[in-house]
Amino acid sequence: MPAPMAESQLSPVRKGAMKRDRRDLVGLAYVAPVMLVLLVVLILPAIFAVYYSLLELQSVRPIGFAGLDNYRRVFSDPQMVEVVLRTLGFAVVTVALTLTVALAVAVFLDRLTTGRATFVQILVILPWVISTIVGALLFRWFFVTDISPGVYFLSLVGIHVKPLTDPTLAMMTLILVAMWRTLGFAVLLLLAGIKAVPAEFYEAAKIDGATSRQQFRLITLPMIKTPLTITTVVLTMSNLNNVEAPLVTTGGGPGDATQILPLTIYQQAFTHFDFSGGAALAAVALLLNVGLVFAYLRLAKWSV
Amino acid sequence: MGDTSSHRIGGRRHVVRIVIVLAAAVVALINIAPVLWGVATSVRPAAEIFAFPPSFLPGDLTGEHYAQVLSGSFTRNLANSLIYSTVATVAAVLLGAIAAYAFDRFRFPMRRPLFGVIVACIPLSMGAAVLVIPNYLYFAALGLLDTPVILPLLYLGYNLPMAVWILKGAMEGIPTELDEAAKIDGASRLRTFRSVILPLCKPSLAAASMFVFIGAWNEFVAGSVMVNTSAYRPVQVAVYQFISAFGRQWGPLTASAVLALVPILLLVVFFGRYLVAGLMRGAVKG
Repeated sequence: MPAPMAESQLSPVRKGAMKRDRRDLVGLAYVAPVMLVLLVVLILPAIFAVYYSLLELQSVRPIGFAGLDNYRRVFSDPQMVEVVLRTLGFAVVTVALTLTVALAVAVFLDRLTTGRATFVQILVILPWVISTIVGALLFRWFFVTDISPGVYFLSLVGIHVKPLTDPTLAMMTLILVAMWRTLGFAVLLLLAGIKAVPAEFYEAAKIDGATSRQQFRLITLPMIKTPLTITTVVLTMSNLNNVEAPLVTTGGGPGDATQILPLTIYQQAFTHFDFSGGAALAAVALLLNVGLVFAYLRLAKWSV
Repeated sequence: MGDTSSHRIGGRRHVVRIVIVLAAAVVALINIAPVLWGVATSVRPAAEIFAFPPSFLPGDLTGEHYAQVLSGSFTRNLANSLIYSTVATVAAVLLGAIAAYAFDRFRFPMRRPLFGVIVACIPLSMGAAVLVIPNYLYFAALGLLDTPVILPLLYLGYNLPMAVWILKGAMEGIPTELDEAAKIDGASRLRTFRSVILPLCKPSLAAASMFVFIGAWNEFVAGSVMVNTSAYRPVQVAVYQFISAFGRQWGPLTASAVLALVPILLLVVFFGRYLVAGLMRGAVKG
C-alpha cells in the first residue's frame, strides 16, 4: 500500500507536524454528515427565523413581503412588552436562585467520598433526566394542586395557599419548577469546576490558617469563575426557551401572570396559527439566544 | 485552654455538618418526592387519591389506571418514542464518533471554524421554541411534516453537538502513539478508528448515547407540532394530551407519567454514572 506510506513520510502522527498538512481532505468527508444535519436542523432555521419574520404568511405559505409589519403588529400589543419584561425578570430570578442553591449543593458534594458522591449525584441529576412535561406534571401533583402534600404540609404550619389563583404565587411556582428542572445540571457543571481546583491551593491556605469560609471565598469562587459564567449562560438559555414548564404548571395564568416569551411564541404559531407574528417574536428571542451562544463560544475552552 | 477551644470548634463543625446534611436531605427529598408520589398515586384507587389530608400509608393497590392508559394508543406512542430515540442515538453516536475522530486526528481546511460551529450549536439547540417555527415552515415546504422521519432527524440534530463534544473530549485523551503503532502495523485510518480508538472510548460512547437518548425521549416542543397523526406521536405529547383529556383524573395521568419515565429511570439507575462522568468531563473542558 504505497499511499499510506507516502502519507506517513509526509506527516508523522505528531500533532504539531500534522498542523501544517492542509491536504487531508478526507477529514472533511468524515465531518460532512454531522455538519449537514446541523445545517438543516439548527443553522438554517436560525437564519430563516429572520427571513420568515419579514414575510407575509398565509398559514405556512409566503404570499408577500411584509417588511417590519409583523414586528409592528406584534409589539403594538402593550401586553407583549410586558411579556418580554416578565420573561427577563423570570430568567434573572430563576438563574440567580438556581446558581446559589447549586453552588451550595456542589460544595457539599465535593466533600463526599467517591462512592457516596456518585449515588448522590445521580439523585441530584434525576429531575434533569425527567422530561419537563412529566416533571412539571409530577411537581404540580406533589406541590401545587389543592389536595397536594405540599399544600397540606404548608397548611399544617398555618399557611393556606392556592398557588395557581394568585399571580405572585403562580410566578413563584413557575420559578420553583424551573429551578427543580435545571438544578442537577447546574450542580454537575459547578462540581466539575470545583474538582478542577488544585488541592495544593487548599493545603497552602490551611497552612496559612484560612478558615473553610475564607477558602471558599478566596480560592474556590475565583477559581471557578469560568464554570460559574458558563453555567449562568446555559441556565439563562434553558429558561429563556422553556415552553413546557409554564404550559403544564400554570398555563400562563392566572390572567397573564406567568405568560413568558417562549410560551407566547409557541402559542402564537401553534395555537393561534399566526405564523408571521410567531416568526417575528421568534426572531426577537433568537437575538437574545445568539448573544448567549456567542458568550458560550467565548467561554467554553474549545480548541482543535 | 487549648482543649476547650478545640472542643468548641469541633462542636461548631458538628453543627455545620448537621445543617449541611439536613439541607442535602431536603434537596434530595424535593428532587425525588414528586416522582415517588406520582408512582404511589398511579396504583391507588380513585377514592384514596382524592382523600384530603393525603394519606402517606400504603393502602389498596390497583392496576386500573395503567389498564385505562394502555387501552388506547399510548402503547403506540411509547413505541414511537422508543424507535425515534434509538434511531437518533445510533445515528448520533455513529456520525458523531467519526466526526470527532476527524476533528481530533486529521488536519483539514476549515477544521477550526467547523468545530466552532459545533460548539455554538450546543447552546443553540436549547432554543427549540425559537427554531421550531422556521423549521416548521420550511419542512412544510419540503413536504416532510407529519412523516415518520421528521422527528428522528430533529432529535438527531438537537443532540449531535453534545455527542461530538463528549466524544472529541474522550479522543483527546487517547495518545496518538497508538495511532502510530496501528499505522506501522498497516492498519488504515478507518481500521484504526474501529479497532483502536472506539474500544478505548466506551465510557464516553455510553455517556453520549445516554445524553442523546434522554434528550430525544424527553423532547416535547417539536414532537407536538411536527407530527399530527397519532400513529407518529411521541410519548411526551401523548402525556401532555392526557392532561386535557383526563382533567383531574390524577390516577391515569400519573400512570401515563410513570410509563413515560420508566425507560429513563432504568437507564439512569444502570448507567447513570457514565452520564454523570461524561457530563462532568465535558464540563471540565467548558
